[in-house]
Amino acid sequence: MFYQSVYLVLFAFFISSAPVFADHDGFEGHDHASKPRVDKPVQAADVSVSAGEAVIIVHGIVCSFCSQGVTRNLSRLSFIDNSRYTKGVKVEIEDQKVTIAIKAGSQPDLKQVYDSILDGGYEPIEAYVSDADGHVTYHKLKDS
Amino acid sequence: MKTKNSVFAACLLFSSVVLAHQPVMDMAPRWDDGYGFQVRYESYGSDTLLDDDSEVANPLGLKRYVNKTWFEGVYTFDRAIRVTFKLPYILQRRTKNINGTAVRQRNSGIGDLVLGIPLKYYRNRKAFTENFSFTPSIRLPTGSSSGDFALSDGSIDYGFSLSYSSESPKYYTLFDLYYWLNTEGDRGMHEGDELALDINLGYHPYHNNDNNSGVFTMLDISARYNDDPASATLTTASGGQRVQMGPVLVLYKDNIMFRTEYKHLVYEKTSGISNARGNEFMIGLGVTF
Repeated sequence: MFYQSVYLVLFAFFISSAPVFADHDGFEGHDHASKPRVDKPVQAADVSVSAGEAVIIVHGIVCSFCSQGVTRNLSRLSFIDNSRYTKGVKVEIEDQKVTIAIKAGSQPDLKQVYDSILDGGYEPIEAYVSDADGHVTYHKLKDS
Repeated sequence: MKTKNSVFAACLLFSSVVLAHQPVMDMAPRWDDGYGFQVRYESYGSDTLLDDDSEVANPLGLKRYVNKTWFEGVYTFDRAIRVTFKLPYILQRRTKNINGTAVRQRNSGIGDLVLGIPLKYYRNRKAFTENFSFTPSIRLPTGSSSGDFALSDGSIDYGFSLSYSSESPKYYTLFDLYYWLNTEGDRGMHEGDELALDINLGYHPYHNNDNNSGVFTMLDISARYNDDPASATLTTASGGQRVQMGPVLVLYKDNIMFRTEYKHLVYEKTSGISNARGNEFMIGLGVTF
């Protein structure tokens, strides 16, 4: 009786979870082929971006110990200025913001930024990029 | 008895009781090609003798204490697929009643190797992340099954875990339900199957974005049901039910995590006369790359 109860409940759990796992590939996506959409330049309303930096809004990034992969991946990009922040990257878990410092004279490749964050385990949603003069452009990376 | 066991098992399955939050093994690394290691020391034991759920006299001074130092590792292929291993070094001692005489027994050495494949499905939302996990595991008999107080029963055992966890910048919850199917090993030893439900309720009181350090606290609640082992079993396995609860403190800085935990035995019911499990203390240090 006991074993039947256990097996029945575990089986029910597994069956009810099956669609979730089956959906995994589609959702996780790691869609390296999809390119971030670059919209027309706008002034960032709610996000403060310093000159020579970019701020990426990342869904789910609420744990800094778990987000080391994001920092690691971004810091390896050629246009990141590793002398600022932690290897050029600052993660703010309260606001789900990732700030990257951009080397002087470099342009950030948002496709590489997108892939780095996705491979780090999180969903990049939008980016605010400031040039050396402090002009900010908005880029939608993924539908939220 | 079987009916009572079924009721208890059903309560475990459908009530909200938890599992140990292990950042190195569970939450991190969640990045592609990430890996981590953790050394964890746990200690439990008691000289309290229980008959069912009642304490009874212990004139022979029967007792059982177990210390385990776990070496654990994880590799993340993709945040959805990981492999883990856990290998304990065990130091165990007990005083056992053998034909009315108190006999001291002691053993130490490498225990059984546990391999797991956590499969996770993540959902990331604004200020919120959650994941569902299914983890098949296997326990290989790398521990010695010889002697009067064996470290292993010498069997290959199979584990299955279903879990859900969610986290916001301030709060964390984990629900983990698992089952170990213990098969018969050497010399007729057969540890009973184990069904458990663990719940973690966490609060994140402090985090410093500038130097990536912080403090994490949790309440850990765990409930276990163990089938009776075969009479020939000479390991520390014992049948019964128990509920434990206690605080967890986690400190982290960059890729290093320190964790300490105390579990108070809230309820225990043994099968026949046996030493209580006792309160449990754990301390660990983990690192991820």
